[in-house]
Amino acid sequence: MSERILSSERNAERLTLALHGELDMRLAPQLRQSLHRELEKIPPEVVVDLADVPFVDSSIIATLVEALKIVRGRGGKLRIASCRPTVRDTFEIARLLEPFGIA
Amino acid sequence: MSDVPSPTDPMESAPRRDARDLASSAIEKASAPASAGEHLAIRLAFSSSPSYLPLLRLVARWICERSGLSELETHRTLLALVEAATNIIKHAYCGEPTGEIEVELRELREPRPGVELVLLDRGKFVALSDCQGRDLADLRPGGLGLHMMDHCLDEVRCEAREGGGSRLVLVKRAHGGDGSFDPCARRAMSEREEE
Repeated sequence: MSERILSSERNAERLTLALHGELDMRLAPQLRQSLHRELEKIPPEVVVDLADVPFVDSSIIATLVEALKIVRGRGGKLRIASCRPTVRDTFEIARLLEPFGIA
Repeated sequence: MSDVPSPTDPMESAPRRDARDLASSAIEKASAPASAGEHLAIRLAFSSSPSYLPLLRLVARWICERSGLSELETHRTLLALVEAATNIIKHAYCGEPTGEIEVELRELREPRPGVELVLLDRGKFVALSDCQGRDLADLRPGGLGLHMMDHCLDEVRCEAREGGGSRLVLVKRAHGGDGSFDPCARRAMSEREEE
């Protein structure tokens, strides 16, 4: 049974990817597949919105790092927006606040 | 100690609500006989599938909150626990869902309140000393799990089990303070602890 973990909105300037739910190893492959599909064609800015995500683990962070590298490789920018405190803390432990533009 | 029944892959074939029902049932069983001062202990046993990670988090969250850990301490304990279980699935059982993972969750009291989480498997044993973390300045996927466990917990111990597999012990104790997620408040707390 596949859960809906990603929704997207795009225009010429920005692609916004909103993720949903508690994300861990069991959803990392599905997230990776969805991100690769969404990132086939990208505008200059990609925003990953985590407002609806209360938990991520290192497998999800690894998937997002992979996405960051894809976007940068194509000359774009990716940032993460609307982190909850728990998720921000996880990115802080991984020392990834700055690469993902998390305040 | 209470057992949670481990039906065959409930997450695959049943609605998500069933995982919460299982967890609620385990928590009711654990709560009913508890008397004042009794240290609560719960045991879970499930197959080595990532499908059970939400259930594990649900039960662990409950015992963390009951033990008096702050919101931040609870979050970090859950993060470390999930990383540990993920490592067992990926490395001890090589990603196969046919192994068994047991998790014992206990409240701790003296010298400070907290939780002890014991993960048991019968897969390939990998000593913590053989696990290589990586330089976090190197931006690439993977290699974060061990760092997260180390950062989030007060104690991580791993030993080989007789007959094969590992026993991994994770300990988190309350550290006082407001357990705030506010980085400024946490910095201020660290500075006060250093004085």
